[in-house]
Amino acid sequence: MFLTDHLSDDVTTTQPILSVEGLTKSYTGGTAPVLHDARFWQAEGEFLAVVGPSGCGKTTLLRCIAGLLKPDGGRVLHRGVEHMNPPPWLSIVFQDYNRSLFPWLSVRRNAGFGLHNLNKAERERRVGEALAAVGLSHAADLYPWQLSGGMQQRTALARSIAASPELLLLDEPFASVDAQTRMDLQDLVMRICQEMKLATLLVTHDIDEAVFMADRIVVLSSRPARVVEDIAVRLSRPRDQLATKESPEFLQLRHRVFTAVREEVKPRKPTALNATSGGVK
Amino acid sequence: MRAERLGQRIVEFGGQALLLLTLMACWQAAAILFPAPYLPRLERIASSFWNLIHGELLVREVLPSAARVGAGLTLGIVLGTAIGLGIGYFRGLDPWLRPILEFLRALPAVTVLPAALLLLGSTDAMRVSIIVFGCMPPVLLAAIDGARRVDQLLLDTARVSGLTSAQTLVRVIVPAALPQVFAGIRVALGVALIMMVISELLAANNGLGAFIQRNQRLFNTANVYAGVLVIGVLAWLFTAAMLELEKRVLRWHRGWRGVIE
Repeated sequence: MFLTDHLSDDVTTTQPILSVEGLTKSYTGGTAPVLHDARFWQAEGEFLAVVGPSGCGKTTLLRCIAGLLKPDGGRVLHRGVEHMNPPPWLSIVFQDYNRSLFPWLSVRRNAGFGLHNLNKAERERRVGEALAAVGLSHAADLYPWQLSGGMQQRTALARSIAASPELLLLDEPFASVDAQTRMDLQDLVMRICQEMKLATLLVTHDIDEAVFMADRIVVLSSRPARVVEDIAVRLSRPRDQLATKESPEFLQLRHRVFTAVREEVKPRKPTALNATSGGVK
Repeated sequence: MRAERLGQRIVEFGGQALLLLTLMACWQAAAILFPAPYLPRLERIASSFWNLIHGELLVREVLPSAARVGAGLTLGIVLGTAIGLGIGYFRGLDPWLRPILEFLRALPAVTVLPAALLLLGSTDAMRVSIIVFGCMPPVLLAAIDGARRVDQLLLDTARVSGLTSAQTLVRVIVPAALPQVFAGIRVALGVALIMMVISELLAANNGLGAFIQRNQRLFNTANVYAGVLVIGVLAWLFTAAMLELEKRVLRWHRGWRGVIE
């Protein structure tokens, strides 16, 4: 199931970087179950995509993994250890970049936000590298409101990688930008994650994006969400927006993931108008 | 383009000057035609005003008032902001404190004047205290509101970045709530001036309020009007200073809102 190439030679003693075990969560005192017994794991350096029908609880799952939300049941293990709070080697990029960047800080300061424990020289070095990696060195002294959407999201990305994480969580990060910027950002994220050998967990509703970017795809059911399929993506890297997306392997995978998700959406469709029973399945 | 704007400004300014001159002319005409104690001529008001803003009178009457407002405002703002942000951030406190805060907000600050007089006597401590009492609630409530309204994503980012509660309060809540706090400060400024005048009208030996009171009793109406004008100038100065401070501190906010709207 997991790609062994990214693991160290000592497979038996290496813990998966992330292990989700039987995660359960509901809102409003149990009346609105969101997650039910979700379980999967992620290997070091692996790019994992999580897809599912809209509103199935993907973001809730991500927040539990990040340590921002306490699940009702089950555990989230980071390298075999359960954390109460977000562990220091985890970073997250949110969908709403204009709400997650600090408007009173410049790009440089935003990027360096999590690095307060370091001395000044080290912090500047890391911020410089992160900004260079995302292509924002020239805009370092601008403020978020002076940037385009794509640049803002790149700032958020720079902030995440400046912290030198080992696991990067992405919550529908490209949903709020236009299609062309989306492609640029996808390429950027893939390149950075490959270069940094960063384990990445991408939550997305865009199936094409999941197949294009990931090493493995986890498909969630609709609410209450559980894992219904775990699909390996054996497309070669580096991936190309044109060539990869036209390849037969890509199309097959896309078809498979799409059907899996659609299966989960089906029960929610409204019944025909001439149905005599009042109930919806 | 620039010439056009300059021309516009000149016309505006001219209009304002004309209006002011007309009002002054009416006053002067009335003072000459219907002489009365409460309608002194402009030149007497001007001379009283001039005396008040320099020399001995300045030091004895104007500066104490300004100092009281300054001290009361500073204390009220600092306390209001610190306590308000704390209450807003540590949400557990709010339900307990809500009824008291709502009561304080509704209570007209001047009502505590007699009690303050009893407690602290006719001292500067009393006067500054009731200024603080008056201008703290607007800032406090604004700070609570500002802290509550901080975007959850900013708080999440802070948590994932490993900030402690205290660090989050200082590095995220304070800047994020500042626009709201400044709105409260604007209200507080008005209240502070009112409380200053009233406390001095009723219980003080010096200060502009006391000056006005004394001259009213002696029917020196020119001095009374001069005092009023000086209070107006003082209020204007404080407001201008506050706006300038706000402009600098909240430069990012104007840019940000400009894009959103």
